[in-house]
This record gives sequence, C-alpha cells and structure tokens, in this order.
Amino acid sequence: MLLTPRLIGFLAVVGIALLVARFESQFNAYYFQIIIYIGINIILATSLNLVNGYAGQFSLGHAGFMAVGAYTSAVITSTMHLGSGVLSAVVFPFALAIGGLVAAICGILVGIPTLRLKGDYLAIMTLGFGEIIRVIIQNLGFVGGARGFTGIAKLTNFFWVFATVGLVVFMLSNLVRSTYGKGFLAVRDDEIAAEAMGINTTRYKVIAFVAGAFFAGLAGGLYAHFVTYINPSQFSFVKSIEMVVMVIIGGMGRNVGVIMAAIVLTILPEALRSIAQYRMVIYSLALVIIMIARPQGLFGDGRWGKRLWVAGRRISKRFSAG
Amino acid sequence: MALLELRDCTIRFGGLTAVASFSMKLPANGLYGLIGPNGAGKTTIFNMITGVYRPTEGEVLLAGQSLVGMKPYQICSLGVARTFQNIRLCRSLSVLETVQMSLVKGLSYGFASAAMNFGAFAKEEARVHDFIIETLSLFELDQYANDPATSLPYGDQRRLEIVRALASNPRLLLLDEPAAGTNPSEKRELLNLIRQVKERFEVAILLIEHDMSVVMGICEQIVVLHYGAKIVEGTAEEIRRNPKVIEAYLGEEV
Amino acid sequence: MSEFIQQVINGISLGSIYALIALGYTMVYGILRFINFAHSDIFMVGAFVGYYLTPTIVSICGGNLLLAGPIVMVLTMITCSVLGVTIERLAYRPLRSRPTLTVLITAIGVSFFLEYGGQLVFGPDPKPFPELISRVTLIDEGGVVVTSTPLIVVGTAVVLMLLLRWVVQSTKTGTAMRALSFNMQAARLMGINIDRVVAFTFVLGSSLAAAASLLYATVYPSINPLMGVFPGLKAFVAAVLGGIGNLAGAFLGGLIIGLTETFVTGYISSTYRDAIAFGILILILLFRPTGLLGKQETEKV
Repeated sequence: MLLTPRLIGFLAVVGIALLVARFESQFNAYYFQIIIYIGINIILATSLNLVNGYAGQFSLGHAGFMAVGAYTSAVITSTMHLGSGVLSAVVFPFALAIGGLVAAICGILVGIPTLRLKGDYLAIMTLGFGEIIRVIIQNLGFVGGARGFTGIAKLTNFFWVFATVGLVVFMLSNLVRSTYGKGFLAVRDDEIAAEAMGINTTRYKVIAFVAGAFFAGLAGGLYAHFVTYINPSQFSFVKSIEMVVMVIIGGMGRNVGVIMAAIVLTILPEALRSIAQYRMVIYSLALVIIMIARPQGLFGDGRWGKRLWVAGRRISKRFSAG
Repeated sequence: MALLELRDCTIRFGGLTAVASFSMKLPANGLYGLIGPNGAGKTTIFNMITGVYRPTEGEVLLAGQSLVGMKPYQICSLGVARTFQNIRLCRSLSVLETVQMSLVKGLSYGFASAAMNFGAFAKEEARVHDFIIETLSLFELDQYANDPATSLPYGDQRRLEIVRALASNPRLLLLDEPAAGTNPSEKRELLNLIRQVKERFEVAILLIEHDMSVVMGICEQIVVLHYGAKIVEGTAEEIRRNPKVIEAYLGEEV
Repeated sequence: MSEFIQQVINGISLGSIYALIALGYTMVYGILRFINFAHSDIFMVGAFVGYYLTPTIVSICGGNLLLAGPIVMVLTMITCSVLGVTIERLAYRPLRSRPTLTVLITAIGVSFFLEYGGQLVFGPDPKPFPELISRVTLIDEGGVVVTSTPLIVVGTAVVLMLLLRWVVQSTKTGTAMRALSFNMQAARLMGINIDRVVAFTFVLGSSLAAAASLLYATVYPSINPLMGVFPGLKAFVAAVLGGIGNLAGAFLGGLIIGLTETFVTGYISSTYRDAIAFGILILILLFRPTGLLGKQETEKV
C-alpha cells in the first residue's frame, strides 16, 4: 500500500478511535450520542457525495439504502442473539458488511434502470425507489412492518463508528485522486466527451451508485445498533433530503466540505432543540436562502481542504525523512 | 484495406434525411478533409462514425470491423478519437487531468485498487503520470499542467482537446473544425500541429473544416458534402475548379 | 355492473381533480424545465383559504351556496395566485440561470417551508371542511348512487380546462407561453417579457390548484397541512404519464391515474392506494420517459 497522507490519516483516526473507545463510558451520554450521530452522518454524506457530487448523478432516495443496511444487519445480529461480549465484537463487522452488501445489491437493482435517465428524471426515479424500498419494508411482517424492529443489540460504539468513518473517507479520497476516479468527474462534467474518450459512462454511474449504497448500508447498520429500535418512517424522503442538503452545503464534490457540513448539520438541530417546533421551518427557509445566495455550498471552496492537506503533508514528510 | 470505410450511410431524423447514401474510404495513413456548407451533415457523419448516432442504413467499418450499433466508448477503445465543434473540455479538470481522462479506459487496476491503493495501483499511476507529462511537453502545454483546462487561451484549449484525443492512442483521429475561431498565426500553428501529429503518431486523420486555406494546405483528398450527399471527392486542385462545388457554396450561377 | 359504473364516475371525478393539479406541474416544467415541488403545497393552502373563507362568505350570501361557491373559489384562486407568484419571484426567479437541480432543491425547500409552516400556523390536526357545494342525490337506483358532487367536480374541471385552453391558444400571453416552452432564448429575442409570462404561468397553475383543492376538499372533507403530498405526487405522475410539458397529456394522465386508483382501491385493496402512483411512475420512466403524448428531445452534439 502506498504511504500517503491519506493512509496516515486513516491509521491515525483508527488509533484515536481505539483510544477514545476505552474511555467511552465516562462520557456524558447526551454529547456522546451527538458524536455518534456525527460519525454516522459523515459516512452518509460522503457516500452520497460520491454519487451526487463526484459522479453528478442526483440521487434523492439514498435513505432507502440506509434502511436496507439497517434492517439486514439487525436481522443478522438478532437471529444470532448477540449480546455484548467477544463474539459480538467479531460478528458485528460482518453483520455490518453484509448489510452494506445487500444495500449494494439494491443499488445495482435501482441503478441499472435509473441511471439511463438524466437530471430531473433521474432524481424523481431515485425518489420513487427510495419510497418503494420503504413501503416494501413496511409490509414485511417478519421485521416488524410499520411497528418497527425492536430489541436490536446495542453494539455500536465509538470505535466502530469512527473506524468506519476513517475507512470510508480513506477509500473515497483515494478514489478521487486516482486516475480511475477522474472517470467520475468526466462523467459529471460532460458525458458525451467522456464517452468519446472511451469511458463507459453507464458503468461508472452504476459503480458510484452501488458504492454509495454500500456505505449508506454500513451507516444504516451502525445506526440500527445504536438506537436499538428502527422503523421505516426513520428512512423517509425527509432523511434523503437531509443527506442531500449536507452534500450541497458541503460543496458537491469536496469531501472535506461535506464532512464539515455533516458535522454542522448534526449539531445544529440539537443546539436549536429549545425551539424544536420551529426547527424544520428554519431549516427549510435556510435551505432556500443558501441555494439562492451561495449554491456552491458553505464549505466547498477548497480552503479547508488546503489547510488539512498542508498538515498531512508535513506529517508524511516527517515520517519519510525520519 | 482502407482503415475507415463508410458504405451508403444514411441517417434520417423523423422526416428529415440528414445524410444520404454517403460513402468514402480513408487509408491508414491518410489525411482527408470533409467540407461543405453549414448544415451539410459533416458533424452528423462524425457522430455516426463515433457511435453517437446510429445510421438508419449503411455500414461504418474500421479495418473491416463494423462499428454500427456499438457505443461510443467501445468505438474509442477500438482506436477512434475525436474533437468537438464547440470545444468540450471538462470544467472541473486541470490540463493534466483532462489528458488523464483519456487514460482511464486503459487502466490495469480497478475500483478496489483505486480505493485502497494496493496492487498495481502505484505503478500504473506512475506510468500514467509520466506519459501525460511527456505528452504535454511535446505539445508545449506542460507549463499549464495544473491550471484549470478552461482557463487556457482559446487556441491552447483546442490544442488540448487534440492532445486529449491523441492520448487515447487512436488509429483514426476525427477533428471537427479545429481552426474555428483561430487567427492567421494560430492557423499556421495548427497546420504544423496536424502535420506533426500525423508523422509522430501514425494516425489517420479526417478533418471537418470551413477554412479553405487549412483544408487545401494539408489534405491529400477532400470530400465535399452538400445537403447530406457527397457531391465530389478529389484533390485540392480538382475541388477548387469543380463547378458543382462552387455552386454548392455560392449558389447557382446566374 | 352498477358498482363498475360507480367506480367509473368516482374515477373520472378524482381524475379531473388530479388533472387540474397536473396542469400546474406541466406548465411550469414546459417553460422553466423544473419540477415545482411546492405546487402541491399551494394546493394545500388553497384548501385552508377555502376553510377560513367559506363560513364568512356563505353567511354574507345568506346561505346561498350557489352564489357563495363561485365567490369562494374565485377568492381562493386569487390568493393562491398571489402565493404562487410570490414564491416564483422570491425563490425561483433568482435561480433562472442556474442548473435545474439547484432550483429543484429550492423547490423542495419551499415545499417543506409551506408544510411545516402550515403545521405551525394552522395546527397539525385535521380540520373538517365546511360544505361549499350542496350535495343533491340525483340518481339512486340499481345500486348506483350519483350525487351532484362528481358532476360539479367534473363540470368545474372541464370548464376551467377549456378556459385554460382558450387562454393558451388564443391570447397573446398564452401564445407567448407556448413560445417560451419551445425556445426561451428565441422568445426573449423576439421581445417577449419573460418575467411577466412566467408570472402569468404561475398564476394559471396556482389558480387551477386552488380550484382543485376546493373540489378535493368537498370530496374528502378533511384537510391538514400535509394533505398536498399524495395528491401532488399523483398529479405529478399524471403529468409525466401524459408527457410532461403537454397540456392535453396532463388531462389524460389525470384521468388515467384517477381511474386506476379508484379501480385498484375498489377491486383489489386499499393498502396500495398511494403506492400505485409510484409504481406507475417507475414504469413510465423505465419504458416511455417522454410520456404518452410527449415528444422525444434529442441532444445536439
């Protein structure tokens, strides 16, 4: 594996996650919850960023994949009656991965018919499929249907969340910097030119879509094993839009901006809890204003990326020189 | 056998026949021109060759292999590259990344390697990077390597588009009005560039042009198109004197 | 057989309402090429305006519903037009040169704003809609019960659609609308005032949505701030089914969706009532994205 700033960053994140996890029980439960949600939202936002931001395929149904991952992993761990303990620690990542894979398969099923369409039509189709997935789950008796799935083992902790965050961000950053990743950008900017230069645009769109679905599935699994109770209404169109908003405010395509947007948009509703009833009204108004005034997003101008890059470079120089 | 052959290619859009029974042959090292008044169907022919449109009738053959029904990216993999009438550069890519785009198709590693940076990744990336820098220097674009592609002066953007097409290692290069919008000195540079490309890269070139000085200057053979049909094919001298060509461009003699 | 006729009548009645809403979607898409997600919420606002106005107007008219009905409808249409034009002016016009997806997200934002704002202002609980159209049983034999309601619904819808047709075909502004839908640049060069024509389009669309809301509230007399979501979705599917941008298509699509929904609910089951629309949407987009009456648009390379 290449020694790059990104690899160092990834290992650092995993290391810190391990460290922090040891002191988990000492945290304030409320703040801890927010931090977990931040991590999950980062995974969701960056996964959607690959689809919407890098590949330029507007997906409005991403919550559906999150739901698939959540339910699949929940079914696995519940069937195995996992409590806490060493066995869970080993099985949990597998359950998550399988949740992700099933979500990825759904991504293929949804992606192939959908990705032939452009712009608005694509957006509407993904919206439709997101809802269809939700309706299907709602009608599946054995996972609780509309009443929901209870009694999920609380296996998610700081380490799992942030190790996954590290992994996802690592993979997506690598992807984008590689020659392979330029294919996504080309498809986004000019499909016709991309095709003319030999890029199989449909395949690239599907790959972005499926990868995005996989990571969303992982996030779903982590979510399910934190809240211990899930029901279809948690994965509705509104959730999909919340993810889309994170990507847009983060600057459609810049991972760093999207991560910051995920952090801010997770904390903000909590900070405004006192005026909770006005929350969505303010949110929607703010959305409209931002789209009019600053559609490139609040964090997407590359400055933050540069600062982190410079820091990473210094660290990797230290390692290679020493 | 000719490298490129079109046999009785016809394409209809609803009631409109844009190209009618068009045939031509281009040898493996040829430099041919395709001219005709606006709307004659020249770019449509390019689109048929590259798979953007499917001919309603007729055949498009590359070294004997039929291209009809193939998708544009498949046709590119067989060795056909093109530039566009209205330059199509990706606005979020740098000059280097623009050329990189053409190398995506030949990568020896896949998604997993790209995401995790293992396996053939490092070597491939290095190979790609070196190739791009080398190619850019060849065309004197290397000093712009990290600048946004669309920030280049117009003439350089056209050059970049040609370089991008060449980077995909084609046997056939289709240039759509490469001289459009260029001033006389840029035109001279372009002529040299095209000659250079042909010699260095051993590629057949078919170019669409309106500018007669460019066409007459370098094309070995010229095909004249009018209302979707070929009216004449010949050398620059033959074309210049042909009454049908004059009529097509200037209208009937009174 | 009698039940069949009943279903057909109900289906056409429901379909006419969907058609009125669908026309708003299709007109805006035809000209501005984006889906106005907030349209369904203008529909919702119409119902609430009607809710608050009806008692007052009815008492002014001394209980004469034949008089009060049209008055309330006109007033509601005016209010919704104002709302629609305001939204266009504030939220959509600044984005006219931007990519359509930006406008789409803005439209979603406006939609949420109206829905959640509506819950704050009107309260989230459903309210009973007062009687605005008197219900007279006309036929009651052989198991078929025909009240005046579906007739008035269809009648009103048809009148409004004919009016719309006249406006679009015969007036100057209507012709300008059609010109814009073909080529906005050319229309601008011909001296057409884009802003005014667009505002006019929103007036038309919002008025129809307002009328639809009153008719809908008469058929299903329970209103709430989220009532626009499903009818809006179905009307949108109707617009796509008929060929988005095509007025006749919106009408046809509305009827098809209305009839399909009524028949599936009546003969199969009501659980899938709302899911049918999604299903139809997926099917059209998969097999015939331009809709039944729409035309193919090829991209010039």
